[in-house]
Amino acid sequence: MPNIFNDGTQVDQIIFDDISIADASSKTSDFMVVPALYTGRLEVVLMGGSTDCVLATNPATVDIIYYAKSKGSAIHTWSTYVSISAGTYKKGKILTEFHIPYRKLKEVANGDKVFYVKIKINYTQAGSSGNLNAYLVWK
Amino acid sequence: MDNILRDGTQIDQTVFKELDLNETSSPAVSDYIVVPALYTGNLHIEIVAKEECEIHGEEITSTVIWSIYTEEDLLLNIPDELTYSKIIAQYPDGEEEITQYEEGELVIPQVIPTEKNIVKLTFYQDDEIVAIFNMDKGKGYQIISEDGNYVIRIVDEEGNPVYDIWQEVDEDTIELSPYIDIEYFDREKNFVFKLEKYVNIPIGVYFAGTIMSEFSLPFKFLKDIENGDKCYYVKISLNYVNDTSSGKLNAYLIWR
Repeated sequence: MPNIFNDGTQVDQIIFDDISIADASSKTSDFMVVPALYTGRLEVVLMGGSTDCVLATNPATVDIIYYAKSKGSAIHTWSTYVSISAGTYKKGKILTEFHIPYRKLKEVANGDKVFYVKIKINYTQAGSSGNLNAYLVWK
Repeated sequence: MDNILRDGTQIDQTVFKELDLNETSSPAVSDYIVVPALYTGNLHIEIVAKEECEIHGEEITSTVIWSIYTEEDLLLNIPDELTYSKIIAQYPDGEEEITQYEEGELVIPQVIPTEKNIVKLTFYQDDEIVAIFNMDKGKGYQIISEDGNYVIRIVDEEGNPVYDIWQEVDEDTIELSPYIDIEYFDREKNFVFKLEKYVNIPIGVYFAGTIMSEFSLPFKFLKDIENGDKCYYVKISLNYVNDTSSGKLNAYLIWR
Protein backbone atom coordinates (compact mmCIF):
# COMPACT_ATOMS: atom_id res chain seq x y z
CA MET A 1 0.00 0.00 0.00
CA PRO A 2 1.61 3.28 -1.08
CA ASN A 3 2.24 5.98 1.46
CA ILE A 4 4.41 8.20 -0.69
CA PHE A 5 4.09 9.39 -4.31
CA ASN A 6 6.86 9.24 -6.86
CA ASP A 7 7.46 12.97 -6.38
CA GLY A 8 7.94 12.49 -2.64
CA THR A 9 4.52 13.68 -1.55
CA GLN A 10 3.58 11.99 1.71
CA VAL A 11 0.14 10.37 1.85
CA ASP A 12 -1.81 11.35 4.94
CA GLN A 13 -4.75 8.97 4.48
CA ILE A 14 -5.94 6.51 1.88
CA ILE A 15 -9.46 7.46 0.89
CA PHE A 16 -10.18 4.78 -1.71
CA ASP A 17 -7.94 1.74 -1.95
CA ASP A 18 -8.18 0.34 -5.46
CA ILE A 19 -11.98 0.30 -5.44
CA SER A 20 -13.96 -0.96 -8.41
CA ILE A 21 -16.28 1.60 -9.96
CA ALA A 22 -18.23 -0.85 -12.09
CA ASP A 23 -20.75 -1.87 -9.46
CA ALA A 24 -22.45 1.46 -8.64
CA SER A 25 -23.01 4.96 -9.94
CA SER A 26 -21.30 6.65 -7.01
CA LYS A 27 -18.71 5.91 -4.37
CA THR A 28 -18.61 7.56 -0.97
CA SER A 29 -15.59 7.45 1.30
CA ASP A 30 -15.56 6.69 4.99
CA PHE A 31 -15.29 9.57 7.42
CA MET A 32 -11.87 11.16 7.04
CA VAL A 33 -10.46 12.85 10.10
CA VAL A 34 -9.36 16.32 9.06
CA PRO A 35 -8.29 18.32 12.12
CA ALA A 36 -5.92 20.22 9.82
CA LEU A 37 -8.72 21.29 7.47
CA TYR A 38 -8.50 24.96 8.40
CA THR A 39 -4.85 25.17 7.43
CA GLY A 40 -6.04 24.88 3.82
CA ARG A 41 -3.25 22.44 3.09
CA LEU A 42 -5.22 19.23 2.66
CA GLU A 43 -5.39 17.98 -0.85
CA VAL A 44 -7.26 15.07 -2.43
CA VAL A 45 -5.73 13.22 -5.38
CA LEU A 46 -7.67 10.64 -7.40
CA MET A 47 -5.65 8.21 -9.52
CA GLY A 48 -6.21 5.25 -11.77
CA GLY A 49 -5.94 1.94 -9.90
CA SER A 50 -4.69 -1.54 -10.65
CA THR A 51 -6.88 -1.85 -13.75
CA ASP A 52 -7.57 0.94 -16.22
CA CYS A 53 -10.19 3.26 -14.79
CA VAL A 54 -12.78 4.08 -17.46
CA LEU A 55 -15.17 6.91 -16.66
CA ALA A 56 -18.12 7.06 -19.01
CA THR A 57 -19.78 10.22 -17.76
CA ASN A 58 -18.75 13.58 -19.05
CA PRO A 59 -18.20 14.97 -16.60
CA ALA A 60 -18.11 12.87 -13.47
CA THR A 61 -18.24 15.02 -10.35
CA VAL A 62 -17.01 15.02 -6.77
CA ASP A 63 -19.03 16.15 -3.76
CA ILE A 64 -17.45 17.15 -0.45
CA ILE A 65 -19.47 16.59 2.70
CA TYR A 66 -18.42 18.18 6.00
CA TYR A 67 -19.23 16.79 9.46
CA ALA A 68 -18.67 17.79 13.08
CA LYS A 69 -16.92 15.59 15.61
CA SER A 70 -20.26 14.02 16.54
CA LYS A 71 -20.69 12.73 12.95
CA GLY A 72 -24.36 13.76 13.00
CA SER A 73 -25.99 15.55 10.12
CA ALA A 74 -23.70 17.11 7.60
CA ILE A 75 -22.68 20.67 8.38
CA HIS A 76 -22.31 21.46 4.73
CA THR A 77 -22.26 19.71 1.38
CA TRP A 78 -20.40 21.16 -1.53
CA SER A 79 -22.09 19.39 -4.44
CA THR A 80 -20.27 18.85 -7.71
CA TYR A 81 -17.26 20.76 -6.43
CA VAL A 82 -14.97 19.52 -9.16
CA SER A 83 -15.59 17.78 -12.46
CA ILE A 84 -13.64 14.91 -13.98
CA SER A 85 -13.49 14.44 -17.73
CA ALA A 86 -14.66 11.14 -19.16
CA GLY A 87 -11.84 8.93 -20.34
CA THR A 88 -9.49 6.11 -19.55
CA TYR A 89 -7.03 6.61 -16.71
CA LYS A 90 -4.20 4.15 -16.45
CA LYS A 91 -2.58 3.17 -13.18
CA GLY A 92 -1.19 6.24 -11.45
CA LYS A 93 -2.70 8.74 -13.88
CA ILE A 94 -4.45 11.57 -12.08
CA LEU A 95 -8.20 11.89 -12.55
CA THR A 96 -8.40 15.04 -10.50
CA GLU A 97 -6.63 16.86 -7.68
CA PHE A 98 -8.09 19.53 -5.45
CA HIS A 99 -7.60 21.18 -2.10
CA ILE A 100 -10.42 20.69 0.34
CA PRO A 101 -12.02 24.12 0.46
CA TYR A 102 -12.55 25.59 3.91
CA ARG A 103 -12.81 29.37 3.61
CA LYS A 104 -16.43 29.17 2.48
CA LEU A 105 -17.24 27.41 5.76
CA LYS A 106 -16.97 30.67 7.66
CA GLU A 107 -20.29 31.60 6.04
CA VAL A 108 -21.98 28.34 7.12
CA ALA A 109 -23.57 27.63 10.51
CA ASN A 110 -21.12 25.54 12.57
CA GLY A 111 -18.68 25.83 9.72
CA ASP A 112 -15.89 26.27 12.26
CA LYS A 113 -16.60 22.86 13.82
CA VAL A 114 -15.77 20.54 10.95
CA PHE A 115 -13.76 17.51 12.02
CA TYR A 116 -14.60 14.92 9.39
CA VAL A 117 -15.04 15.04 5.64
CA LYS A 118 -16.45 12.54 3.18
CA ILE A 119 -15.72 12.49 -0.54
CA LYS A 120 -18.36 11.25 -2.97
CA ILE A 121 -17.66 10.51 -6.62
CA ASN A 122 -20.64 10.59 -8.98
CA TYR A 123 -20.52 9.03 -12.42
CA THR A 124 -22.54 6.89 -14.76
CA GLN A 125 -22.26 3.20 -14.01
CA ALA A 126 -23.01 2.18 -17.57
CA GLY A 127 -19.76 2.03 -19.48
CA SER A 128 -17.61 2.75 -16.44
CA SER A 129 -15.14 0.14 -15.27
CA GLY A 130 -11.82 -0.45 -13.60
CA ASN A 131 -10.36 0.70 -10.32
CA LEU A 132 -9.27 3.90 -8.72
CA ASN A 133 -7.33 5.12 -5.73
CA ALA A 134 -7.79 8.31 -3.79
CA TYR A 135 -5.43 9.86 -1.28
CA LEU A 136 -5.47 12.69 1.19
CA VAL A 137 -2.15 14.50 1.13
CA TRP A 138 -0.70 17.36 3.11
CA LYS A 139 0.85 20.15 1.08
CA MET B 1 -7.15 47.99 -5.25
CA ASP B 2 -7.43 45.30 -2.59
CA ASN B 3 -4.21 43.66 -1.60
CA ILE B 4 -5.32 41.90 1.56
CA LEU B 5 -8.48 40.00 2.49
CA ARG B 6 -10.32 40.56 5.78
CA ASP B 7 -8.75 37.51 7.41
CA GLY B 8 -5.27 38.79 6.62
CA THR B 9 -4.69 36.67 3.54
CA GLN B 10 -2.27 38.45 1.23
CA ILE B 11 -3.41 38.82 -2.39
CA ASP B 12 -0.79 37.91 -4.93
CA GLN B 13 -2.64 39.11 -8.03
CA THR B 14 -6.12 40.31 -8.96
CA VAL B 15 -7.63 37.96 -11.53
CA PHE B 16 -10.99 39.68 -12.08
CA LYS B 17 -11.70 43.16 -10.79
CA GLU B 18 -15.37 44.07 -10.47
CA LEU B 19 -16.37 41.73 -13.24
CA ASP B 20 -19.95 42.58 -14.16
CA LEU B 21 -21.74 39.28 -14.65
CA ASN B 22 -24.58 40.81 -16.61
CA GLU B 23 -22.56 42.95 -18.95
CA THR B 24 -19.67 40.58 -19.60
CA SER B 25 -20.11 37.93 -22.23
CA SER B 26 -19.44 34.38 -21.18
CA PRO B 27 -16.87 33.04 -20.84
CA ALA B 28 -15.14 35.79 -18.93
CA VAL B 29 -11.45 35.15 -19.49
CA SER B 30 -8.73 36.61 -17.31
CA ASP B 31 -5.51 38.10 -18.57
CA TYR B 32 -2.38 35.96 -18.43
CA ILE B 33 -1.57 35.33 -14.77
CA VAL B 34 2.12 34.85 -14.06
CA VAL B 35 2.50 31.74 -11.91
CA PRO B 36 6.17 30.85 -11.47
CA ALA B 37 5.17 29.31 -8.13
CA LEU B 38 2.60 27.00 -9.76
CA TYR B 39 4.54 23.83 -8.98
CA THR B 40 4.63 24.55 -5.28
CA GLY B 41 0.90 23.81 -5.16
CA ASN B 42 0.37 26.81 -2.92
CA LEU B 43 -1.49 29.01 -5.39
CA HIS B 44 -5.20 29.39 -4.87
CA ILE B 45 -7.98 31.30 -6.57
CA GLU B 46 -10.75 32.86 -4.58
CA ILE B 47 -13.84 34.33 -6.21
CA VAL B 48 -15.73 36.78 -4.02
CA ALA B 49 -18.94 38.71 -4.62
CA LYS B 50 -18.06 42.39 -4.78
CA GLU B 51 -21.73 43.27 -4.47
CA GLU B 52 -24.78 41.04 -4.37
CA CYS B 53 -24.36 38.60 -7.23
CA GLU B 54 -26.72 36.18 -8.85
CA ILE B 55 -25.10 33.60 -11.08
CA HIS B 56 -26.67 31.08 -13.42
CA GLY B 57 -25.52 28.41 -15.81
CA GLU B 58 -26.67 26.95 -19.06
CA GLU B 59 -30.16 25.53 -19.19
CA ILE B 60 -31.10 22.30 -20.87
CA THR B 61 -34.71 21.84 -21.82
CA SER B 62 -36.08 18.37 -22.21
CA THR B 63 -38.22 17.48 -25.15
CA VAL B 64 -41.82 16.42 -25.00
CA ILE B 65 -41.99 12.65 -24.85
CA TRP B 66 -45.03 10.42 -24.92
CA SER B 67 -44.83 7.36 -22.76
CA ILE B 68 -46.90 4.33 -23.60
CA TYR B 69 -47.01 1.36 -21.32
CA THR B 70 -47.56 -2.07 -22.77
CA GLU B 71 -47.82 -5.20 -20.71
CA GLU B 72 -44.12 -5.73 -20.18
CA ASP B 73 -42.34 -2.68 -21.46
CA LEU B 74 -42.43 1.07 -21.43
CA LEU B 75 -42.25 2.48 -24.95
CA LEU B 76 -40.77 5.93 -25.35
CA ASN B 77 -42.16 7.54 -28.45
CA ILE B 78 -39.28 9.87 -29.05
CA PRO B 79 -39.75 12.88 -31.34
CA ASP B 80 -37.80 12.88 -34.58
CA GLU B 81 -36.12 16.16 -33.71
CA LEU B 82 -34.42 14.69 -30.65
CA THR B 83 -31.04 13.45 -31.82
CA TYR B 84 -29.26 11.19 -29.41
CA SER B 85 -26.83 8.32 -29.37
CA LYS B 86 -27.56 6.70 -26.03
CA ILE B 87 -29.96 6.66 -23.13
CA ILE B 88 -28.80 6.08 -19.58
CA ALA B 89 -31.50 4.81 -17.25
CA GLN B 90 -31.11 5.50 -13.56
CA TYR B 91 -32.63 2.80 -11.43
CA PRO B 92 -32.81 2.96 -7.64
CA ASP B 93 -29.84 0.60 -7.43
CA GLY B 94 -27.66 2.12 -10.12
CA GLU B 95 -27.48 3.17 -13.75
CA GLU B 96 -27.21 1.36 -17.01
CA GLU B 97 -27.43 2.10 -20.68
CA ILE B 98 -30.68 0.94 -22.19
CA THR B 99 -30.33 2.21 -25.75
CA GLN B 100 -31.37 -0.38 -28.29
CA TYR B 101 -29.60 -0.83 -31.60
CA GLU B 102 -30.20 -3.21 -34.48
CA GLU B 103 -27.30 -3.68 -36.88
CA GLY B 104 -25.79 -0.41 -35.74
CA GLU B 105 -29.00 1.57 -36.19
CA LEU B 106 -30.96 3.10 -33.34
CA VAL B 107 -34.31 1.49 -32.71
CA ILE B 108 -37.11 4.01 -32.34
CA PRO B 109 -39.23 3.91 -30.28
CA GLN B 110 -37.02 2.75 -27.49
CA VAL B 111 -38.37 -0.05 -25.36
CA ILE B 112 -37.58 0.23 -21.67
CA PRO B 113 -37.84 -2.95 -19.59
CA THR B 114 -40.06 -2.26 -16.61
CA GLU B 115 -39.11 -4.95 -14.16
CA LYS B 116 -37.46 -2.22 -12.11
CA ASN B 117 -38.59 1.29 -11.23
CA ILE B 118 -37.00 4.01 -13.29
CA VAL B 119 -35.88 7.22 -11.62
CA LYS B 120 -34.52 9.13 -14.57
CA LEU B 121 -33.68 8.73 -18.23
CA THR B 122 -30.85 10.83 -19.60
CA PHE B 123 -30.39 11.20 -23.34
CA TYR B 124 -26.89 11.78 -24.64
CA GLN B 125 -25.54 12.85 -28.01
CA ASP B 126 -21.99 11.58 -27.71
CA ASP B 127 -21.00 12.90 -24.28
CA GLU B 128 -23.41 15.82 -24.14
CA ILE B 129 -26.74 15.65 -22.37
CA VAL B 130 -29.53 16.59 -24.78
CA ALA B 131 -32.60 15.70 -22.74
CA ILE B 132 -33.53 14.49 -19.31
CA PHE B 133 -36.71 12.67 -18.47
CA ASN B 134 -37.32 12.60 -14.72
CA MET B 135 -39.55 9.97 -13.21
CA ASP B 136 -39.54 10.10 -9.45
CA LYS B 137 -39.85 6.77 -7.73
CA GLY B 138 -42.81 7.91 -5.72
CA LYS B 139 -44.73 5.77 -3.29
CA GLY B 140 -47.71 3.56 -3.36
CA TYR B 141 -49.46 3.58 -6.64
CA GLN B 142 -47.42 6.14 -8.45
CA ILE B 143 -44.20 4.31 -8.98
CA ILE B 144 -43.04 6.25 -12.01
CA SER B 145 -44.84 9.52 -11.94
CA GLU B 146 -44.65 12.85 -10.21
CA ASP B 147 -47.73 15.10 -9.97
CA GLY B 148 -49.38 13.72 -13.04
CA ASN B 149 -46.88 14.98 -15.57
CA TYR B 150 -45.55 11.63 -16.52
CA VAL B 151 -46.88 8.15 -16.82
CA ILE B 152 -48.83 7.18 -13.74
CA ARG B 153 -48.56 3.48 -13.15
CA ILE B 154 -51.26 1.88 -11.10
CA VAL B 155 -49.96 -1.17 -9.31
CA ASP B 156 -51.57 -3.85 -7.22
CA GLU B 157 -50.66 -4.61 -3.63
CA GLU B 158 -47.68 -6.66 -4.73
CA GLY B 159 -46.41 -3.90 -6.92
CA ASN B 160 -47.40 -5.49 -10.20
CA PRO B 161 -48.57 -3.07 -12.88
CA VAL B 162 -52.30 -3.05 -13.50
CA TYR B 163 -52.64 -0.22 -16.00
CA ASP B 164 -51.15 3.12 -16.84
CA ILE B 165 -52.52 6.56 -17.40
CA TRP B 166 -50.91 8.15 -20.41
CA GLN B 167 -49.93 11.76 -20.23
CA GLU B 168 -47.80 14.13 -22.19
CA VAL B 169 -44.61 15.14 -20.49
CA ASP B 170 -44.32 18.83 -19.71
CA GLU B 171 -41.23 20.57 -20.85
CA ASP B 172 -38.71 20.33 -18.10
CA THR B 173 -35.67 22.53 -17.75
CA ILE B 174 -32.59 21.85 -15.71
CA GLU B 175 -29.84 24.33 -15.12
CA LEU B 176 -26.20 23.33 -15.15
CA SER B 177 -23.78 24.97 -12.75
CA PRO B 178 -21.49 27.73 -13.92
CA TYR B 179 -17.94 26.45 -14.09
CA ILE B 180 -14.28 27.38 -14.31
CA ASP B 181 -11.77 26.38 -16.97
CA ILE B 182 -8.04 26.77 -16.45
CA GLU B 183 -5.67 27.24 -19.39
CA TYR B 184 -1.93 26.70 -18.99
CA PHE B 185 0.75 28.43 -21.08
CA ASP B 186 4.53 28.32 -21.20
CA ARG B 187 6.85 31.33 -20.80
CA GLU B 188 6.40 32.25 -24.48
CA LYS B 189 2.64 32.13 -23.96
CA ASN B 190 2.33 29.01 -26.06
CA PHE B 191 -0.73 26.98 -25.12
CA VAL B 192 0.04 23.86 -23.07
CA PHE B 193 -3.25 22.52 -21.79
CA LYS B 194 -6.84 23.44 -20.99
CA LEU B 195 -8.43 21.91 -17.93
CA GLU B 196 -12.13 22.18 -18.69
CA LYS B 197 -14.91 22.39 -16.13
CA TYR B 198 -12.48 22.06 -13.25
CA VAL B 199 -14.67 23.49 -10.52
CA ASN B 200 -18.35 24.29 -10.48
CA ILE B 201 -19.93 27.34 -8.86
CA PRO B 202 -23.24 26.65 -7.16
CA ILE B 203 -26.12 28.51 -8.79
CA GLY B 204 -27.59 31.17 -6.57
CA VAL B 205 -27.38 34.56 -4.92
CA TYR B 206 -24.23 35.63 -3.10
CA PHE B 207 -24.19 38.61 -0.78
CA ALA B 208 -21.37 41.10 -0.96
CA GLY B 209 -18.18 39.69 0.49
CA THR B 210 -19.23 36.03 0.35
CA ILE B 211 -17.13 33.41 -1.36
CA MET B 212 -18.50 32.06 -4.63
CA SER B 213 -15.66 29.64 -5.26
CA GLU B 214 -12.23 28.74 -3.89
CA PHE B 215 -9.82 26.29 -5.42
CA SER B 216 -6.15 25.60 -5.80
CA LEU B 217 -4.40 25.66 -9.14
CA PRO B 218 -3.83 21.98 -9.88
CA PHE B 219 -0.42 21.04 -11.18
CA LYS B 220 0.32 17.38 -10.40
CA PHE B 221 -1.62 16.12 -13.42
CA LEU B 222 0.61 18.22 -15.70
CA LYS B 223 3.35 15.61 -15.41
CA ASP B 224 1.32 13.51 -17.87
CA ILE B 225 0.98 16.41 -20.34
CA GLU B 226 3.53 17.34 -23.00
CA ASN B 227 5.39 20.45 -21.83
CA GLY B 228 3.41 20.25 -18.61
CA ASP B 229 6.59 21.07 -16.70
CA LYS B 230 7.01 24.39 -18.52
CA CYS B 231 3.89 26.24 -17.43
CA TYR B 232 4.48 29.87 -16.52
CA TYR B 233 1.12 31.52 -17.13
CA VAL B 234 -2.48 30.51 -16.57
CA LYS B 235 -5.79 31.98 -17.60
CA ILE B 236 -9.03 31.52 -15.71
CA SER B 237 -12.31 31.32 -17.63
CA LEU B 238 -15.66 31.77 -15.91
CA ASN B 239 -18.46 30.12 -17.88
CA TYR B 240 -22.01 31.18 -17.06
CA VAL B 241 -25.07 32.79 -18.64
CA ASN B 242 -24.83 36.54 -18.50
CA ASP B 243 -28.47 37.31 -19.40
CA THR B 244 -29.75 35.82 -16.16
CA SER B 245 -26.78 36.71 -13.98
CA SER B 246 -26.13 40.01 -12.25
CA GLY B 247 -23.80 41.78 -9.87
CA LYS B 248 -20.06 42.20 -9.76
CA LEU B 249 -17.37 39.88 -8.50
CA ASN B 250 -13.68 39.92 -7.79
CA ALA B 251 -11.26 37.05 -8.15
CA TYR B 252 -7.86 36.86 -6.53
CA LEU B 253 -4.78 34.74 -6.76
CA ILE B 254 -3.48 34.07 -3.29
CA TRP B 255 -0.45 32.29 -1.91
CA ARG B 256 -0.92 29.96 1.01
